[in-house]
Amino acid sequence: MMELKRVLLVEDSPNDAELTLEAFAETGLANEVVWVRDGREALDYLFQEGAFASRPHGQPAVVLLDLKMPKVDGLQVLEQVKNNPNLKSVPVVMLTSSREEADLARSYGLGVNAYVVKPVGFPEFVKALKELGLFWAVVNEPPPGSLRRSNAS
Amino acid sequence: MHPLDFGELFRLSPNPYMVLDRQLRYVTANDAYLRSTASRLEDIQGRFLFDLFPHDPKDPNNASVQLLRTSLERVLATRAPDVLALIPYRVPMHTEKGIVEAERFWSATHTPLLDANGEVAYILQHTVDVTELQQLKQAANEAERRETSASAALEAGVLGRARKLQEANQLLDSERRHLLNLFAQAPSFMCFLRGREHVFELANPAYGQLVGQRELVGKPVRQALPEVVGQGFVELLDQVFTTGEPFIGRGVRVLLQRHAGAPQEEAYVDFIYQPIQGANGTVAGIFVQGHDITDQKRMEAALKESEARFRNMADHAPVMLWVTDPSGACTYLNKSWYEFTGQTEETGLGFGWLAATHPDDVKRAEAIFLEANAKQAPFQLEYRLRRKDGEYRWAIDAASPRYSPSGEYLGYIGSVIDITESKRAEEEMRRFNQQLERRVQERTAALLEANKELESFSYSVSHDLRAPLRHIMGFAQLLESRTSESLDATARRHVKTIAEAARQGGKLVDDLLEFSRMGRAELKKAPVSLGDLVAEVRRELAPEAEGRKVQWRVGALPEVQADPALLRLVFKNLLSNALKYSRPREEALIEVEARDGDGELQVTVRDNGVGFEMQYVDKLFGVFQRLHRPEQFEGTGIGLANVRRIIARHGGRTWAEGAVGQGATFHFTLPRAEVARPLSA
Repeated sequence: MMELKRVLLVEDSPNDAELTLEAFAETGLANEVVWVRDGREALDYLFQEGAFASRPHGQPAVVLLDLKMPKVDGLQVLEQVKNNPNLKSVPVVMLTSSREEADLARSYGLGVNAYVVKPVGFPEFVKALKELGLFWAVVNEPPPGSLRRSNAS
Repeated sequence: MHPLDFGELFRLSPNPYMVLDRQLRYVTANDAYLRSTASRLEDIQGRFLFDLFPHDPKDPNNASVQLLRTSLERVLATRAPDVLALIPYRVPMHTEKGIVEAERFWSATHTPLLDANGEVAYILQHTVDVTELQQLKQAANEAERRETSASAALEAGVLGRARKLQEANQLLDSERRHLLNLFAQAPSFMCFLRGREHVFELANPAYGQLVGQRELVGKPVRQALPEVVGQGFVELLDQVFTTGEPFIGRGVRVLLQRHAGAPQEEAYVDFIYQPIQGANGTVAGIFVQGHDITDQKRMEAALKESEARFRNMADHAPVMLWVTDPSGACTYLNKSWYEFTGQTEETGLGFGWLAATHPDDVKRAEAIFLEANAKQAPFQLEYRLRRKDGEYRWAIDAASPRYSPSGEYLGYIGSVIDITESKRAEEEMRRFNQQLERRVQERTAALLEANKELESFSYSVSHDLRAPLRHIMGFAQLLESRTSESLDATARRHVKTIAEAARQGGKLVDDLLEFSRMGRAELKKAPVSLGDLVAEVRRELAPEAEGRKVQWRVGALPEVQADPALLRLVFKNLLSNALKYSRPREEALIEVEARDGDGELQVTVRDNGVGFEMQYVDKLFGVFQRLHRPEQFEGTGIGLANVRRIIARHGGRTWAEGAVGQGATFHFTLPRAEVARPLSA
């Protein structure tokens, strides 16, 4: 059996998270999605600290990062990921409601891999996620050390 | 007894006579004259003497002619007879061989014939042919060489004396005439008064001018100039005549009748009364000579008056005035200066003014003044001047060099103004400006703060308001897809409505945010080809035109300087509107054209759609203003507001025309400076 690439979803809004998970479900992509509620938890997960100190090794194939979150916001998470030699090769996609130019500019300045504005309509949202998931979780070859698709048998 | 016929007497006289007029033309001649010159009266009458008898035609100005002419002119000038004792003169004569010109000697007397006014009217010439006598004299001279002839010598002696007398006469005459000329032409007035009664014997034209060209000669002073009697002049003349002492008068005022019929005028004269002694040593008369200095006097008076006026003006001027001489010493300070400083002429003049200058300014002021004075250059300086109450006041002192009419440097004339008040006002103005500047800065900071708040508000709106709308829509759609079987038609419609309403809400938020961004975003101008832009937008809108008949008419569009993204939005709004509102038409017609207006480019987008009611044209460009119901035509009512805002930010105007059912026309302009390249077909 093939082990699917893991996706890390960083999203403070349960509604958004649920919709995202629903959308993933609709796309037919069966990747494991790990959902964390804020930037702090995301960093803990990525650095295998705190509650995630004993999680399985390996980095996610892609991090879907909301911009505006309590405690540590998306840009701060992005900054730490891209400044860390071990993490900087992990693809990060901003998945946000903000179309502000300043956010776009800062994200790309910090080395984001993609920037996606969440469409208002659910069908469009599903479509966008499907494309995202297809590209990052299926098509794209992740850097070494990521969880790979492998033959179980 | 018959009276004597003088005409006959003249004609028959054995002596030759002829009469000339003043121009020396023949008037008449008697028979003896005509005989001795072999002439006929009718041939000579009216002719000029020297044309007729030139003596030597080859030399018109020969000595004989000169001699004769001089004698005749003397008669004209002196009105006295003149004698030519001997003159060689060639004239025609009768001989056995006929008429010949022969050298002859004449002795002539020229007598003036005076008219009623005593002027010479004619000259009578009596002439004697002395050729034979002269020949006799020559013969005698020759004989004398051989043997002395007493009678010949006697004859020669008489002739010699006559010639000498003639020469002496001529010399005296020319001197007299010279003196008379001097007298007549002298610029000073002159006259000679003879005797105790001071009778005018001579008076030159200048004197005539002084007294109004009156007839003076032969009249005593009292009679000739009655108005001077009682002014003391006659008494003076009497005194000079009696004492023999001259009198000199300077700038003496006299009232004179200077023009006939006019009132007496005041005149000023410098003059001398010089007694003249007669042959017996007593005073014979008084020579008067002098100058009319009336004009000079008047000018002096005018100058004095003008100077007094200016001094008066200067003294009463509200500014302080001063004057220096070339050395820099102050020679005048006006009243204002003395009143201001409380100084006197003794303390202020010369370099005294420096004492009234503030000790901290005095060195600089003196240096600037002396340097300017050395260069004779205008200058201006500020210093503190002590007022009489002891307070030092800021003053501005400006001066210009003065020059005499011949260009000689005379020093300065300068003015001083107390500028303390204006300096204070200036200081206050500066303080006020600083305050204003500070307030502007504060206001700007507040504005920036407000802008920031606004931005963060937009950010919140974009993030926080969009999210719940998205959630509503997402879950509504999830609900719709998951439970479609268990819901009845009404419930399904409700779910759909929820989703649609949320979508519309999201769109409104997006549009509002975009509109607010439009107002804040910096314009990034670049050359934009309107033609390319329209083509791109058309491609973008192609899905909206799908399945419809749309005819596009796009004219020649120029390149402009504008923000490409914003201008693209303008066209997107206008063209998508045109597409949208022409939807009911079987064939839509959309026209885009540009033309050069007055200093601007005018772009027009026209459609044949449903149009609008012109009375609501003002609402077209307002935010969220719509003229159609959503179920007719979708939209948030922000598109045209964006168009207007973008064009306004480019310095252009927007307006529209339309009528219900007859399509709409939208215009916008861009200032000429925005047009990078002219229209090309």
